Amino acid sequence: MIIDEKIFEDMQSRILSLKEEIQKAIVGQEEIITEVMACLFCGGHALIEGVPGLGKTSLIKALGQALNLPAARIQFTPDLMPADILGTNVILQEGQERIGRIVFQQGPIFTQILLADEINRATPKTQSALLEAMQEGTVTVGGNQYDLEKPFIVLATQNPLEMEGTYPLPEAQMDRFFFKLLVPYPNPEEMHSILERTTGEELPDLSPRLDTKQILEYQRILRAIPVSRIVQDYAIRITYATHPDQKEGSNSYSKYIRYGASPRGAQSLILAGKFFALLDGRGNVSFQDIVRASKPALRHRMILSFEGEAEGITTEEIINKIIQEVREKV
Amino acid sequence: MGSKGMTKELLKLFPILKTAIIKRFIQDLWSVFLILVYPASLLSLIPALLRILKLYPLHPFFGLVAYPVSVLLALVISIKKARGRDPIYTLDRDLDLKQRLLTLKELQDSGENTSPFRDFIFRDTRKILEKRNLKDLYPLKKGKHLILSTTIILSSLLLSAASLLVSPQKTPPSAASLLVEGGKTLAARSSTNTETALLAQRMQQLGEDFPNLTQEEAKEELTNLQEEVTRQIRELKRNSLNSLFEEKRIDEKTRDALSRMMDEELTGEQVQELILDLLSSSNAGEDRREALQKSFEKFKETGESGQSELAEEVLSELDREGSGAEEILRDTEKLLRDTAKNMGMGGDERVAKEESSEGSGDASEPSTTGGGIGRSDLDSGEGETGGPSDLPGRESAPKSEEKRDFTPSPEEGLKAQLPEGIVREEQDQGYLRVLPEESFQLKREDPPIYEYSRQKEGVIREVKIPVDLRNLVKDYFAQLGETYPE
Repeated sequence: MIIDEKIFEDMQSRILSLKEEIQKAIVGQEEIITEVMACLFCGGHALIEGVPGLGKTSLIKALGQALNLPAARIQFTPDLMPADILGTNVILQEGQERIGRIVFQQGPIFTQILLADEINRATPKTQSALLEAMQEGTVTVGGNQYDLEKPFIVLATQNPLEMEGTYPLPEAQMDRFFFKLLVPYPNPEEMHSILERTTGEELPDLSPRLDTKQILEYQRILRAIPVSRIVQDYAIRITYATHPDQKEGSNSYSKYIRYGASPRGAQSLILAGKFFALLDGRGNVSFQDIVRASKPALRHRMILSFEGEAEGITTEEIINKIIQEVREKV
Repeated sequence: MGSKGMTKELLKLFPILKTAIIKRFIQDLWSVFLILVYPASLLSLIPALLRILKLYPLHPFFGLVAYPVSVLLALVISIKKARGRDPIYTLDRDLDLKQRLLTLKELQDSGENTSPFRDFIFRDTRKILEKRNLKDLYPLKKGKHLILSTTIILSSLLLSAASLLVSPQKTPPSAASLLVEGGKTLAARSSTNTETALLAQRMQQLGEDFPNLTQEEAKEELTNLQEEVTRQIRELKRNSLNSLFEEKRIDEKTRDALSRMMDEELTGEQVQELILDLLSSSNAGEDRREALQKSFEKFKETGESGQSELAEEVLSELDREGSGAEEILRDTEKLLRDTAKNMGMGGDERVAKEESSEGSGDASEPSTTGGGIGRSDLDSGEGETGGPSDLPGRESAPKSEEKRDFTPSPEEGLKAQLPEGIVREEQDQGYLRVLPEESFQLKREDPPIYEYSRQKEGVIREVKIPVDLRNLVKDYFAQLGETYPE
């Protein structure tokens, strides 16, 4: 298939119209909406961090409506068990009579858009129940593997304020999230709009803009967007620069890092770069696309050292420094 | 196709890129030139400054070479810069193509015609390039940069031109300052001699009064001083003559003859007789004989005038140690002569004669001797040849290496009359007698160091050496002559 201007422009306009549709329900948060869409079209999952009441759940609901995809929400609690998410085998009975047939009862994960609300409140055992689903798009229960319908996207949220009784996500789990998004507090103007929309008589009704087939087609086209070697090299050098023993940059920040980003970080940079290029109407990835993807793609893939934690350094600050110091071309 | 080939291919596909490359090069060239123009303007001023400060008389427009050199340098640097960069990467960045060109080039490089995006990127790039206006893309620094650099270049040109109005020669010290300084030096050197101290005082006083005197008064005062110095030198010579007699280095007859010669009262024959007596005297050293002989020959060349000068030279030869006072007075005499020159005075007749005899006068100045006798108080080495022939006023002097027929001429007649022993001594001294006997030739073979010493002395007389260093220099070269084995 040859991509011509018509296909590309149609694709671009549909993605933008999807964004506009979501924005009908969500005031502001434009960047977050774009990044969630990036996760969707790149086939990744997003970890959304923000205080309660910022519209995380509303965003996911709006996404489901605008895509006409089934969405489910799981409230993670300490007593939530993996089977509560994945589902379980049950013995089928009709009335008082047991038929004696064991059937798999699908859990809420069998959806296409999954909101894992306050994921850090569940135990690591339950959290890890998501691992296979997120990475492979399959669920294995009782020796049987079940495919999840594509596209499948997990949007997990976590509350950064309440740390008591929470189980921080293990590094392996964190790495499986394509992006980590920080939901900012709305500004006063946005707050006015939020109040006007949510306290009125009717909530906006969203109409579907894309269907499953189109999403999967767009995912395929997006992956075909070429990346020049120099841009790819730039993404790799940025990823290497997140490591404490890196050779890129000036080493001024390396003491604050314990572990750097995995190759998944570089993959996220390139894929997200392709999505941003598509949004920009380009058929190629630029350095700027990589820079734009760097924070959401790398901030959760770096682990701060004790020194970094003690000095209150954030991974965003380190990424800023890396972007400043790593040159586009060697 | 290689990477370079692909670059060329892309440049063909998008001709605007070529224009961009050229514009970028011109911008680089201009920027580098603007950086180099400042040091170049400073360098261009060096010859003008040297001229203004009278340090070196270089033509001021030599400095302007710095500008073409800076242009050349800017060209070289710009070419190096252009070669050092990846043209596609640079164009991509400069034209804000967001790596479209890079990606397109790589797609073409890899021959990946199957990429569904290849044509799309190509058309997209072309569309963007069509909208790009290169006019504002590589602007040349103008405004204050242009004004500043133009001002600097024009200023340096003007300054260079203006420096042409300044004479590159040092302004000679004023007569007044010469006198004051000379007076001070003389006072410092002649602490024991009352007459000389008085002379020093008069010089200083005259120097101070100089600005208040009329030209005529100043000339008169200066002439008086010169005469006083001449008188003191004569006086010293007479004293010296008496001392020589008292020390029995000369007999009474010689003393009287020399005394009369100083008063210009001897005939030519008497002078010749006196010189012969002196030459044949047993205590006359070989070099002394030679010097006397040369002085006499010069005397004869001038038509037997200037007995007093010859007498002084003879006395100097007889009393080589001389006196420090005479040396001081000679220096003072020269200083007064310089001062007179500064004032546009020719100096008195005696001075003119001495100048010509020393070969230090201009070629245009009247020279009574043609070749110069050579000052006996310094060295007698110039007597024979009249010193280096390239010195002004000595154009007729034969070169030392030149062969000439020995036909006993009136000038050389004395040689023929010299005792046999003396002639033989001459051979040892560097004269070879060449057969045949009847018309033998004299070939002077000066030892190199002797020749060197002699030439240097000639130069010393031409060059203005500070008075207090003159002795040092002279002694050095005199010492060179002495070290030569006899």
